[in-house]
Amino acid sequence: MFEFLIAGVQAPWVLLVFTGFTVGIVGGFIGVGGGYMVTPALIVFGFPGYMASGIDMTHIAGKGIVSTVRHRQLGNVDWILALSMVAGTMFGVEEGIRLLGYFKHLGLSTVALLGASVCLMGTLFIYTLRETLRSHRLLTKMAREGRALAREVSTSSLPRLFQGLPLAPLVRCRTARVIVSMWVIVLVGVVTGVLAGFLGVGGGFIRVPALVYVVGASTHIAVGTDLVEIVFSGAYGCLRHSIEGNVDFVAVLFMLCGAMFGAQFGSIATAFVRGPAIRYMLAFSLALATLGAGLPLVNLLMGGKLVWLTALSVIITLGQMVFLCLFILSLVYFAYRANRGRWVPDWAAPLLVHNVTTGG
Amino acid sequence: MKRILDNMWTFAMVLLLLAMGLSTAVYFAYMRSHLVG
Repeated sequence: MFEFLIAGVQAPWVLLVFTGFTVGIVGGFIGVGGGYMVTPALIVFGFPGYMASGIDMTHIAGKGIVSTVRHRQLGNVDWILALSMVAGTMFGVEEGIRLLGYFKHLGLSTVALLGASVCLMGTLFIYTLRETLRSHRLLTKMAREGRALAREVSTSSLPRLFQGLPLAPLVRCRTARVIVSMWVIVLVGVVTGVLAGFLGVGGGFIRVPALVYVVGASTHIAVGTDLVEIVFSGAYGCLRHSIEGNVDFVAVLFMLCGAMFGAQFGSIATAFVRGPAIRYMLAFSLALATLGAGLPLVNLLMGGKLVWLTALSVIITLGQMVFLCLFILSLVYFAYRANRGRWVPDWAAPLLVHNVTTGG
Repeated sequence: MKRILDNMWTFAMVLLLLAMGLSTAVYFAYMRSHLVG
């Protein structure tokens, strides 16, 4: 136990480092900040809710920088795409928060908000999982036929639709190898920003699938580019929370001690897998997050009588980061074995990259 | 062991059970300590 004087609580510093490490791995791998996982964890460790949000946001800003630097070294950041989206994202988040205030003023209930979150994340989960299963089957078929496997395989036809929109100016994103209308990129930024601000869910959750299925970037590029957005939004959130006095910097330091290593590991781990493996993790994360938001919704709909559902939701949210972390570590271990010509499960082999280079 | 590893969904379920067990232990250990102290 360590006494955090600013927050005025005693909390286990080892678990803070561990949380930072696991969320760092998950965030670096699937390109999310991980706020939806860290905030409940910090509340369980004894931090008050407002402090948990502030510590979480500040640690995300620091971790985002580490992940972005690693992804840049791996060639996963498309700066044109990222910088074209930043303004739209920031504008969208601010408008989303204002929209939330407006609807609250009109009497929008928590039930409606949770319902919207569950619907959005559930839809994204179903679409991502269905598409990833198709891509996985295609990869397995290609491997059986002895064809060379690309790092990215996607079976979605949505990117072709959006890339075909003849709206000037067209932007050439060299790293992402995409030519698309600037309006599509800006609109993705604004829409994902509004949803993130309005629903209070992490932007990465929505932005990574949007970058893959709307803009048409590869999953690796989507993850790296999204992390750039997270640095900006995290820094803005960190500033806002610091001014409000919601940040215990000692707790942030403990979390960053773990996140520094976790974020690098998670980012480097993307070099060991093909796109569908990252999308699987994203789909699993979306499924568990939908469940995490759905259980309190059921409790509210039942008139708040089933309090244990809220406790179960927290347990699922905490378990989610450990589960994703274990799965990512397993994939890296399988890739290590595959690179040495040892046995790996049949389902894993097409998802792994051979002869890995991890940049600087 | 090989039977668990051979199917992605079985493997995922085993990892999920492990993770949920750990998170349940942490939840009850720390939540109870807040409630008591």
